[in-house]
Amino acid sequence: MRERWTWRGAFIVAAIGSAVGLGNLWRFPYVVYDSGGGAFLIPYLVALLTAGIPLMMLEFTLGSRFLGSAPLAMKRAKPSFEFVGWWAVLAGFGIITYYAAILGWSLRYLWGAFTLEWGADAGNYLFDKVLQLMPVLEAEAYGSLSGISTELIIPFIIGWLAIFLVVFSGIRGLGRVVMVTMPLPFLLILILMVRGLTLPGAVDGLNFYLTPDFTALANTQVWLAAYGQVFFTLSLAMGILIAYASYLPKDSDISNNAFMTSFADALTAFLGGIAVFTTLGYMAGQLNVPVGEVVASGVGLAFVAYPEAINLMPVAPAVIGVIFFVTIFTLGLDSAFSLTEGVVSAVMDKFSLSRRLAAVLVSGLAFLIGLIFVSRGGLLWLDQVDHFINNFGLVTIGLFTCLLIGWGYGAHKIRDQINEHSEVKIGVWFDICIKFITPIVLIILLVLNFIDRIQTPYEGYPAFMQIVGGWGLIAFLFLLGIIFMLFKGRESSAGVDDTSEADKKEV
Amino acid sequence: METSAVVSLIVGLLIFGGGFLWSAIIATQRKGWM
Repeated sequence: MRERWTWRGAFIVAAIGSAVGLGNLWRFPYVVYDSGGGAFLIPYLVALLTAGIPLMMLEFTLGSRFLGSAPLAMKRAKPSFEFVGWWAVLAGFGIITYYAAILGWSLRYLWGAFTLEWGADAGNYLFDKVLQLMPVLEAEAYGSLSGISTELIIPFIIGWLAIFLVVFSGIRGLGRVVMVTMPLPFLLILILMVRGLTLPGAVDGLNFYLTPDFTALANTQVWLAAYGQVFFTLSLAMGILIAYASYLPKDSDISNNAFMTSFADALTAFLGGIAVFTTLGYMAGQLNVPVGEVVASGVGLAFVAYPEAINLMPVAPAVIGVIFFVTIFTLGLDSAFSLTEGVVSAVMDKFSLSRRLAAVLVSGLAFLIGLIFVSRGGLLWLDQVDHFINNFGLVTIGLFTCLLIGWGYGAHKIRDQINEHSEVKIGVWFDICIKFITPIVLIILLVLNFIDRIQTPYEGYPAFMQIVGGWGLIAFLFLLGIIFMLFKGRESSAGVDDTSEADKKEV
Repeated sequence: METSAVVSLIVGLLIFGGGFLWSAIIATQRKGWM
C-alpha cells in the first residue's frame, strides 16, 4: 500500500518547500538585475506560463496518475520510457551529494554568525578558514581533494542527519516537518526584507534591482535566462515532483496545485530580491561605492557579500547574521530532503525495499560521495559538477520528458487527466507548450551551452576535471539510467488502474 | 525611488502574490485543503 499525504496542504507545502531553495535568494535577484530589471518580469511570467507550470502539471500528473516514482511512472506511461525517469532520479542523486555540502557550509556559518566570526574579510574566511581551499589554489592543484576540511565535516554530518531523519520518517513525517521548514524561511525573508527597507541606501539598491530596461526584451539571451531560471527553480526534471505527487489521491486538483506552487516560488524569489538588494544598497552607501560594485550572486553573495554587509549593520548585526543563515539552511533543507525522497522512492519502487532500508542506503551512499565536496578542493568539484548536471543533465531530461510524454504518450491524454479532477481547466495551449515551446527552448539552451563548453572549458578547469566531473559524469549517469531500466526489478504492478476517463476516451 | 522601479515592484507583487492568492482562494473555496 503506497504511503499518502495526510492532507492536501502537506503536499502543497512540501512541493513549495522543494521548489523554493537557495536559488530563490542567491540566483533569481541577480538574474533580474542582470536581465533588464523590472522588465525581466515579462519574460519570466511568459516562461512560467509556457514552460514552468505546464511541465509541473505534467510531472504532478505522471506521479498521481501512475502512482510511482519517476522511473515507475514513466514505465507505466510506456515501458521504454523508464530510462528518463532514472535519468531524473540519478541527476537528483548527483545534486544532493553536493547540495548537502552547501547545507554544511550554512550550518558552519550559522555557528560563526553568533560572533560575526568572518570578520572584515569574509572572502578570506570562506576560502581559507571554512573551505580550507587556499593551499589547493596556491599550489594550483586543481582537482586535488587534499583531505577533508576540518571546519566542515561536523556541520556536514549534522546536515545529513537532518535530511536522513526526515526521509527515514516517511511521507507523514515529511509532511509535518515541511510545516516548519517551508514557512520559516519565508517569514525570515520577510524580516530581512523589512530590515533592509529600513536601512539608508535601500532605495538605491531597489532602483538597481527593479528599474526596468525594456530594450533588454529584444535580447534573446534575456528570454533564455527567464526560461533557464524558471526551469531550474521549480525542481523540474529531478524526479521530485513525480515522487511527491505519487503520494496524492487520484482525484487531486493538479492544475491548481501547480499554479499555487509556481507562484509561491516566484513570490518568495521576488521578495528575496528585495531583501538582498536593499541590504546591498545600504552596503554600497556605507562603502561609498556604486551598488554595481557590491552586487554578487551564488556562493559569493551568501557567504561573502552578505556577511560583509551584515558587518556594517547599525543594530544587532549578529542577530541579522543568525537570521540570514537560518534562512539559508532552512531554504536548502526542504529542497535537500525532497531530492533524497525522489531517489528513495525510486529505489523502493524498483527493488521492493522498505523505506527505512532505502533511506539508509541512499543517504549513506550520497553522504560518502558528498565527502568529495567537503574536501579542501571540494568547491572546485562542486562548481564543475553543478554546472554540468544543471546545464546538460537537467535540460536533456526535461527535453526527453517533453518529447516522450508529449509526443509518445500524448500531451492531450495528460491534459484530459488533469482536467478530470481540476477546478481550473486547461486548454490546448498545454499541448502546444509541452510539444513545441518547451522542447524548442530546451534545445536552444542545450545547443548554446554545448557550443560554449566546446569553445572554452568551464572556468578553465583542467581536462580531467572536465571529463570526470563533466562530460564523463553526464555520460555515466545516462548510461546508468539505461542499465537500471534493463535490470529487471521487483516492483509490483499494484497501485495503478487504467480506468480514468482520459483512458476510456482513447479506447 | 524611481517611479519605474516602484511600478515594477507593484507589478511584481501583484502578479506573483496575486497569482498565489488567486490559486489559494480557489483551493479554499472548491476542493479545500484536506
